Amino acid sequence: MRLLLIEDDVNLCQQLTGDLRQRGYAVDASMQGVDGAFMGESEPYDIIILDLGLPDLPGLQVLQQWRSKGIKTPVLILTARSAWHEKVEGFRAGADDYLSKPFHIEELCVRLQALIRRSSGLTNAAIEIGRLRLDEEEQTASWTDPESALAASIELTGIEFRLLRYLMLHPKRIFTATHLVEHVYDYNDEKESNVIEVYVSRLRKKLGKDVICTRRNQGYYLDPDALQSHT
Amino acid sequence: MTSLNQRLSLSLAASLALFFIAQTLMIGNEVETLSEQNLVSRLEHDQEELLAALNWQPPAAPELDLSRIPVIYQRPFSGHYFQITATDIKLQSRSLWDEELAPQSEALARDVIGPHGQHLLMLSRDFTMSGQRLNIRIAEDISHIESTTAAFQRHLLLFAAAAMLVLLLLQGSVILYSLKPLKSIRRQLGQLEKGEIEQITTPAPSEIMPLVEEVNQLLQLMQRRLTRSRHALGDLAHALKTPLAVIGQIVQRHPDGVDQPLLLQQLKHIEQRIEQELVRARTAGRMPGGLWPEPLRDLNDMTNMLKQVFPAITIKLKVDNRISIAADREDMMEIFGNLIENACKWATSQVSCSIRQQHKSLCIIIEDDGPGIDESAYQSLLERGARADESKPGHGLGFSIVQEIISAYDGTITLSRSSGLHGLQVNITLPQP
Repeated sequence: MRLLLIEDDVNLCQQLTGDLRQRGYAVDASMQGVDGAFMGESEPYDIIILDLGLPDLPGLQVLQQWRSKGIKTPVLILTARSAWHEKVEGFRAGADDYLSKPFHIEELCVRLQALIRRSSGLTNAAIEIGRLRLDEEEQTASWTDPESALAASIELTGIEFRLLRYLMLHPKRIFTATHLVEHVYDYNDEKESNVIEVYVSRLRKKLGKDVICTRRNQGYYLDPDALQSHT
Repeated sequence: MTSLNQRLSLSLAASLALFFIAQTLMIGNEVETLSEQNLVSRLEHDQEELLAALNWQPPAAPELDLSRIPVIYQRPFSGHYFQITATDIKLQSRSLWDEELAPQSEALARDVIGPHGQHLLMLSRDFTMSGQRLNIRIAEDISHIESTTAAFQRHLLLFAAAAMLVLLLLQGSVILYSLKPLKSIRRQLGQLEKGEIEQITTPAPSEIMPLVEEVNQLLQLMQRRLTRSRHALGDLAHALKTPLAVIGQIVQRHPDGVDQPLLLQQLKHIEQRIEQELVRARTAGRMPGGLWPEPLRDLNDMTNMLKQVFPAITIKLKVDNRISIAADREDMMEIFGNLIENACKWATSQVSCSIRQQHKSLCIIIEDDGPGIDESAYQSLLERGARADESKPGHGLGFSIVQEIISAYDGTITLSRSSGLHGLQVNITLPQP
């Protein structure tokens, strides 16, 4: 999940960036409204956290700018004022959710996950396709067994988790390796050309060969039918 | 203090009445005196004529040259009489017939009863002729003069009364006309109270123009001050809460620290305190010119927003299309936002918000189908910072913030169990101008 964080306070910005990276987001941060607005327009983010109290360009204006240009990325606004009229104005400008400062990082993550699921058209509380369930807190995957409540969890590395979450949020859709790189790595990460290929094969090793399919010369996709039964 | 209209009307009417009464009395009196003077001078004249017509060479009997006496004295009971008396002689006009004019103590006697009960004015004077003293009494019936004078006085009184009535009416309309600007200002003040207008725009007479200008200026000042302080508070909030958020995250990153629970608790106290004071400072409260411009649009957007955040909850908004709420927009949004969001957090699937306009008040009911709370906890929930349950996220100040704002509007808030949805029901009454 590519995430853009626009927050003018240096410390909060650094804190949040670290915390969110740990929780499996590819985070790009900007401390200025103008830069942030440009990044939001030029990079394919999956979600944006926008502080309304930016010194150079009001957050609401940034949001309006994006929406008028047709950028539909879900946006969560942060407000220090925690005034309701501001939240409603943010909503009118096109925000999808709000959070008042100060907040707990857990709450922010719950809101982000909900927002991402909502924008992918999912209604359940957890990401689960067939028998494969993704635990966003633990960053693990597991096969649910209808006969026993116990499910063996499969450890995932940071990038594996990001990749699997992205594919599970958009099942059946075919993504090129470049597209996947853009949504799994942040702007400053070192990206090697065959990195997606490597991680796809690692996921196949952990979850099963037919979970992620390759369509030659087009890309990768997740096959939900293969997840209905697992041996 | 009575109204200006009443004061002016009363004092003007009193002065008018005083003037007319004095005038009527004076003129009536004057007319009476004047006609009497006229009469007396004629009688004196006639008296002298009589003296001239009298030929008396004592000891011969006195003789009157009748041709020199006006004929009116010859006609019986004509109302004009004379009588000449000397020591043993009595001459009297034919008009007296066999009556006589009784002597009176004063030279000019009023109210003398004459023949046929006539009301006479009598003039009596002593003369000396050829060494003999004689007395000439001359009298005239004044009843017709008295009746004409009385009629005149009556007419005068009638005229005065009519004139006073007309003048009073005229004066009433003049007062109404002059007080018209005051009346329109009063109407505008009422509108101002209801929030229909923001400034007094009616042209005022120069006497009260300074007052109107002062009111307008105060209103502007109030509005500007509110905007400025809200702006400053927003900046302050941003400046305080961002570092607080950082501190909170740093503290949470060290769960093994011994002081962590205490630090978190203290941090929470600071957050709550800041939030509460900011909300209190931000509240506009009841003030003239306050009106929520588009309550329905704001409420619809707010519920749509909450529906996005709480997709499992249906929020029913029961608000009249033509509702008008005389209160500050930001204050009201704070109330509705906090209460509806809270209801959404606890509801299983339904939240309902209804606003009804009653006579001079606004009745707001927000209910949910959640578990509700125990009756004994109602009071503590409305008190500062108390929370019924710590399990839901949020700073838990919702109710006390709402309580604070409502008291700034002299409103009331009560909690009860919803009869329809069986969860918590919040009832708010806001007085409206």
